Order: sequence, then structure tokens, then C-alpha cells
Amino acid sequence: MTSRVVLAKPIRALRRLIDLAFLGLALVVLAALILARGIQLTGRSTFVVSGPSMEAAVHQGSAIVVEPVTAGDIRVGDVVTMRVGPEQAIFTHRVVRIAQRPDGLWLETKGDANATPDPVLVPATAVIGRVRLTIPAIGYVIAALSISNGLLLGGGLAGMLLALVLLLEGLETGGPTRRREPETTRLPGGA
Amino acid sequence: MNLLSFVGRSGVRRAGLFLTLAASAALTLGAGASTLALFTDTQDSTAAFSTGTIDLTASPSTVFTASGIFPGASGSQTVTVANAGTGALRYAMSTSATNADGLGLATQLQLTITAGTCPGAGGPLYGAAALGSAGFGNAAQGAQAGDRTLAGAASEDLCLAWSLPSTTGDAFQGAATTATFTSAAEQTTNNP
Repeated sequence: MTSRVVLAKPIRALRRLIDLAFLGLALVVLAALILARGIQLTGRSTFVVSGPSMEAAVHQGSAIVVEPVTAGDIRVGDVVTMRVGPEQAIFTHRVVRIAQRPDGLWLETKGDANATPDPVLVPATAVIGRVRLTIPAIGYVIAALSISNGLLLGGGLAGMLLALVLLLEGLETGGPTRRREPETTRLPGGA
Repeated sequence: MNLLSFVGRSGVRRAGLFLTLAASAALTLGAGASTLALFTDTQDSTAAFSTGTIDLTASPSTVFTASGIFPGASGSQTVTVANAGTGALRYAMSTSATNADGLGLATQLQLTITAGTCPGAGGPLYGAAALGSAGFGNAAQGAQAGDRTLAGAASEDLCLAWSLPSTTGDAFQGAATTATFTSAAEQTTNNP
């Protein structure tokens, strides 16, 4: 009996911890989904930063929320997301100079962590938008949820945590419940 | 223990299960649509920023006109070198001067090239030395000592200052020369 009492408290504490971990996992996944899908409903876009060129302002693995901006509103110092080059690769760098050319506004951009500005100017029309929000690390979660292995991992983790909680609750309540006989008092003599 | 008691025992668990349900619904509803998010900065930037133009101009096109000058005379002019293209360029300057009368005035005239609007700032890029050999950098491909760079849609000023030393002798009387300054540019992208 004593051993059960001694184990009950740490088991309960562990069970509560895993309940919280499960909640945490669900919250993180939901947050990633809101960023990836929900943000689009507001007219903005979410991107995952997969390169280190904007450290330390924007970490690799961050999710960035980008808001459309008109060319005339772009200022030096803004961090903008743009499509570049023949393959229309998506880049997010900081505007370091704005140049007025006969054919319109062009931007000189530079990754904060890069030693030199980008080798070619970018037309302001190539800008998708300006970075309004940076959330570190959750980009990794969004990227994971984009592939089947990531979904499997998430689902497996959730299932594992729930199974663990079920197991621990079983241990907590102390095994199969025993029916107790009601106490009877025998009276002396006959009925 | 039944499922209901398992779910209902902990408020935290109920919340977690509810959120998991919401997340699964969101994922299912979105299934079949394109990937959840686009990725930024997936490529090496030099390779991606690969299309651009370079276009070097220098003005004014006539830098100095000096006639009837005497030893000790001098003058200067700010020349604006501009890149009207979108890609970064690297340029070098050289001079060729005429010597039709064989008197060698281009060697006697001195030129100093300094960065910035006249009188310029910092150490000279060239000179003071013979006008006929004036220049900086190397027009050969690649980055060499003295080459200067200009980003797209950027410009810089150079100060060209000439002088005819006061020690110039009678041999140079009536001499004339025409010097042409040539700037040669090349792209810097994929061309270290």
C-alpha cells in the first residue's frame, strides 16, 4: 500500500505535464495553420524564411507576414519580399537605396548578414510586399506540415502523448477497483 | 475507465483535444491545395540576381579646354561618372593624348585625379603625373588594383586637376595636345 501512495504524486505530476505538452503541441500546430492559411484571408501573405541572409533581424526558420505595398510607399530600411531573376526566386532583403530611373523606381537591396548589396537592382514592381511581422521558429513547423512525413510526425507525437496519458491515469487510480463488502455486525444470539 | 471519463477528467486535455480537432479540420479542408507557405531565400543570391544591365557614362564630355596658357597655369573640373544600368559595374580609366607637333606637351602637363567633387577628398587616384599616362585601374577582365565600382543607377564624382609646371621651358612654346579619357566598364556579377 505504501508504495502506491509514494508513486501516486509523481505519476500525477507527470500525467499533468504530458497533458500540457499535448495542449502545447495542438496550439503550435494550430498557430502554424492560422499563419499558413488564415493570414491569406486578410490580404497578406505568409512566407517561410529558409536562408540566413537576414540574420539577426529575421532568423532562418521564421515565418514572416508580408503586407502588399505600393512602390511609392517603400522606404530605405524596409524589409521587402520580392521575386527576382528569370526564375522569379523569392527573396526577402532590406532596401538600402531607392533609385529613380527613366523606367520607374528601382531598389538596391541587401541581406543584413551579407557583406555586399545584391549585385543587381530590383524594380519596385517585383516587390510582393513589406514584412510586417516576424515569428521565429514556427516556419519550421509550417514547412513540416507541408510534407506527409511532417504530418505523420505530428500525428504520431499527438497519439503517443495521449496514449502515455491514458497509461499514467491507469497507474494513478491504482489498478482495478475492489468492491468492498459492507461492514456487517453480527448480533449475538439467534435472529 | 471509459472514453468520456478519459476526456473529461482534465480541462487541459479537453482543450488539447478540441484544438487538435480544429487543426485536423483545417488541414483536411486545405488538403489538395498548394503547399502551406512559399519559401524565401532558397537560392544563392548571386545566382538569382542574374539579369541586369550596365551602362557607363561620364559627363561633361569635354573636360577642359585651355588655350594660350603659360607655365604655372592650372585648372580643374568635376567629372560625374554614372552607371545608368541596373547591375553593378567595375571600371578603369586610361588616357591617350596626341603629340602632332612632337613637342611632348602631354608629358609636361600634369594631371591629378581625386575622388569626389573638386577639390576632391582623400589620396589621389593618379598623380600628380604626366597627363598623357593618366588613369587608374586595369581594363583587363576581373578586379584589379585601382578599379572602381559603381552600383546600378549610382554615380560618383571625380576631380581632374591639371597644371603646367612653372619650370616648363621655352621648348614647349606653341605646343598643343588633345587628351582623350576613356573609361572601360565590366559587370561585377559572376566576374570577381
